[in-house]
Amino acid sequence: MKRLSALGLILTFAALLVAASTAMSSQASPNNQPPRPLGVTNPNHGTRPAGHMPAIQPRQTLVQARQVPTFTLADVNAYLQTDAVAQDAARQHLTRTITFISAQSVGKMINDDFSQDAPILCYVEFTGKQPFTLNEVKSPSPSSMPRFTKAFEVFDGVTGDLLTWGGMP
Amino acid sequence: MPRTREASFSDSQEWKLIVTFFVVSILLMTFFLAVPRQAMANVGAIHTVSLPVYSCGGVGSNHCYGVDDWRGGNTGAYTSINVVQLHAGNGIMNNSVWAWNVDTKHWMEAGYAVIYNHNYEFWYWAYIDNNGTYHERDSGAINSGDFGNEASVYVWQSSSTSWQAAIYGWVTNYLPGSVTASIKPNYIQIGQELGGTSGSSAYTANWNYNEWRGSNKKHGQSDPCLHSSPDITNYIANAIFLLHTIIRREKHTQIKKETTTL
Repeated sequence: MKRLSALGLILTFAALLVAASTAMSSQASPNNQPPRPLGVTNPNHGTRPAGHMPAIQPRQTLVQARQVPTFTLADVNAYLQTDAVAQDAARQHLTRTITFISAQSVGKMINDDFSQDAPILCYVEFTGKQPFTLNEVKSPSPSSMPRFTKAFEVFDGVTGDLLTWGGMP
Repeated sequence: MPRTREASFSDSQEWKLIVTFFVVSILLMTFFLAVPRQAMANVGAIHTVSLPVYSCGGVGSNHCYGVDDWRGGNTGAYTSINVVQLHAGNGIMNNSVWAWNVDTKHWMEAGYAVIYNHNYEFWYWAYIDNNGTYHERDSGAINSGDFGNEASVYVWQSSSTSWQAAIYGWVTNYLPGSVTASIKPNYIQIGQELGGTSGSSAYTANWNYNEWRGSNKKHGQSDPCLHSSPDITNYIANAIFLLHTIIRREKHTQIKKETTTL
């Protein structure tokens, strides 16, 4: 009987340890995420691109006619009424200009690459009489918050998506 | 001679002892199984901290930060951030990693963010190029399946004149490609940034498995493999092995950080 009870105690302890370690490991690695980075590779399951941020709504008539851009100056102005950067610029009385221009030209102007995007882009520029900041800008510290003389937003001429935005010193 | 008394149990006493032990064991097992569930829920489902009034941005005031950072030269950084709900209030909020140079004010950052005029969160990355121009790219909405999971966020130098960012959520990714920039970071920073004056709140998020990348030729510049833990131990001043950071914003503009070693 004593042997039986001792065996029972040992088995119970073992079961307890297994249960505890299982519980602890599931906490340390929730959802079986890979616990260590393996360089810049996909996780161990497929993910899909999140795409660009949707912005200006293309006009179906222009889309069907295969025209580029697929939206008008009025559409851009209407969208900018709801756009955070444009509204920030408006509050600071910055001057706004909207141009439809080749992707290559925009790339040269702001030192960026739009070769994977539409051939015609919508470039919106905000200029001030003195350096300004935009509250939408993200930075690592207050002291590194950049001050701009120009800010810009770039929209894809086909999809109307916001491709990039920023500011120049 | 004193009489020695040998302890002994009858069979019935022994069975009672065994039954009692089993009951206690079951209670302990229940405890062990319950605790992790509570801990996981804490990551993204229970706690939300809202701020009544604060001064964290807008014309004439600065953003607020709840961050941890490491000093030292590096060529990139990795972190794994819990994707949780952020509410921007009347400004912006982002959970991010930054690789930056505090002297030149050049940096590259990536993470996820929310802004007051959108009712969804998005992946983003941003950087300052060699001309001092700020660039930001924002993704479409983060998928609902990304929430409650971790996102792998990388920024790294891909050549002497270019940098790259990559974000892998549980369902969606954001891989914007390489950009021209010659950033020489001497800081890595992780944490939360808040801009605005009212209405924001955030669920608790953790920045896990934080690592840095150096220019060690054993890895090679084209090898994106990040440094392993022993290198982190050397790099971080306090010899922290793996940093597990909980950023918590408290009343008004105070931002509290808690740092524990795993």
